Amino acid sequence: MRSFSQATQRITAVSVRSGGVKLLQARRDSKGSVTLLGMKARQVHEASDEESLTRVLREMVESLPEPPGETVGLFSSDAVVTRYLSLPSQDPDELQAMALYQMEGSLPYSIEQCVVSVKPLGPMGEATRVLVVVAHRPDIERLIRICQRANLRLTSVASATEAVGRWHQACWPEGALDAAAWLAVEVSEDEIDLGVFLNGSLSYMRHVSHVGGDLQDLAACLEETIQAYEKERVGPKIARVTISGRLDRMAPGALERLEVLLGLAVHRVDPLERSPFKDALAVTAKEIAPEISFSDLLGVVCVPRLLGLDLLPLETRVEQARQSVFRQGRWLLALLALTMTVLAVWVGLRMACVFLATRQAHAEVLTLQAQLTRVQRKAETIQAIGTARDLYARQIRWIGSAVQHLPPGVTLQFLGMEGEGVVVLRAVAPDLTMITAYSAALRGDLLWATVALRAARVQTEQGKVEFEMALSPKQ
Amino acid sequence: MSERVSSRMVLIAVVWLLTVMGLVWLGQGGVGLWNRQTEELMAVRERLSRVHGWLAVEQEVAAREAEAMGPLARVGRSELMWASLEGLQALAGAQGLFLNDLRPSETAGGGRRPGTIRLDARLEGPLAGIGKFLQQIPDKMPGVRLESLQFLPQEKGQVQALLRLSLPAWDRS
Repeated sequence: MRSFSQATQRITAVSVRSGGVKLLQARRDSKGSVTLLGMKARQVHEASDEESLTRVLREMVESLPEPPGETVGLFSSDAVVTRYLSLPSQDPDELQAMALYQMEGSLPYSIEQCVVSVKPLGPMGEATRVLVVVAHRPDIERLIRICQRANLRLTSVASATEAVGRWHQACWPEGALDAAAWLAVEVSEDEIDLGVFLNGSLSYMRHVSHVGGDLQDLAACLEETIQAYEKERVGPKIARVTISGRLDRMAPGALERLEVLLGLAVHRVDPLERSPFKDALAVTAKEIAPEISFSDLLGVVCVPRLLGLDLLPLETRVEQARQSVFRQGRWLLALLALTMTVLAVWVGLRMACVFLATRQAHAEVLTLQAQLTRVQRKAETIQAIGTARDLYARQIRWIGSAVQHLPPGVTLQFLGMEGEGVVVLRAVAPDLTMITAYSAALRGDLLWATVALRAARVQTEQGKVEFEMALSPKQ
Repeated sequence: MSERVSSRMVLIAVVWLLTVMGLVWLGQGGVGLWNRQTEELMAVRERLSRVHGWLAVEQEVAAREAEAMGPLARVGRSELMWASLEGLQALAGAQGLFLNDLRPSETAGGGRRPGTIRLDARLEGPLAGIGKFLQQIPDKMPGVRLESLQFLPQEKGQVQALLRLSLPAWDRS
């Protein structure tokens, strides 16, 4: 079972048959509205030659306005074997296995050479009535191969009969065909595709080849089909008939007479009158030959729900999935490589800018270094002068204090700075008492932290005392 | 077919793993280099900012330096000693002092430290004048230090002092 995504979607339908190749492309939006993009058909004289078919299909694909997108291949009813079975199960996998088991031996080829699609039709007592469609694997693989070489990747292989029924249903938007059982008929040059639809789903299909061109032959064919359907007992009686295809060769009033012959309502599906693409087909119908019918392809692109029958082999799906994974992996790797490259380039540029900015800043610092040195020297000079002024002012205060406290009779001889903060004083006093008084007076001055007598010597000639003091100012 | 697919997938997985490991290693090295570069740039820009800060106040610093240097602001290195002596002479004369026996000397500095000019002089005059003279010396000789002051006995209220001063040999080139 396959479902279409809800986003805008491109669908391409292709049919490769003995008469030629048909190709149709449409776009479906999220609301279900469909726009035709292209519709082409070409006859191939060497229909059995795979190369010719591939070449013709490739040319048609290249002329499409947009890339293929989802591609559905169509198989005709004459290429498959159909059986109606009642199987004692309701599980889809069990129905598939039981159908294969029952079909084995009754087919013209081995079961390994077959591609099978099983469609449940509904319960029948405790069993399930199923429609089994079997195709010869080489035929399906041939279709897949032709499409692959023409750059089309098939996502499913659907039944042309079922697609025709979907197309007839789309041309009746009122849903008049939904509830009843109706017979969809597609008339070609010399063959007829017939399908019975119950509640909009295909339940019976039949292909008739080599049909005569007159109305009696057509009526007989339809009558046989109706009887064969009723014999299979897959559903209620057919209520109406819809017909499309090569109806231009019929005489006027043929459909009315057909109604009388069958005893059923017969509706002609004319794409020019009641299709969703009335305007588009009105243009396109002038360009193609009237003998080519696109009902099956149109049904594929219009179908709003699932196409129940799908003959695309499982191994093809697996291979396509694996190729898709590798393709996405390559895209992811390329994206990652691109991201890393961009990131590396950005980082490299950023680091280069930082390097250049650093060099520029270094150069500017070197350029300004001489000027900076001059300014800093001047600042140091200012600071040094200030410090020197402070020290000199303290020294003057020290001298002032030493002189101020001199007692009478004491003569100051020397004042010197020893180191950074010791004042050395030498003087002559009359006697030791004066020295003591002087020392006491100095100690009484808050300027001095310590007043120390270093030496005192009596002068022998005059009897005076020479003394030396060390004064330490307070910090 | 399955063996070929399997070996191909193993090869792809190995390539992926090596690529991721290489990217991680490159990333670590790149991040470290990025951080070092950024730190270096920030450091040099901060240094440049400080330089610009200094240069922005260059004129102000020059003005304050000239103001601090006073009369020696326009005196070159070679004339500093003579300018200092002239300043002392002027001060002594203003206070009625006699400045004599001048003996200047000079020592060289090291690196950014200026050299030192040393002045030994003899002063004669009243004690009060010597006191004022000493107080006004920094106005004529910015940055001066008083190394020593020795008083010699004199008569009649006159004082003789031996003065030793030191002055940084400012190089204002």
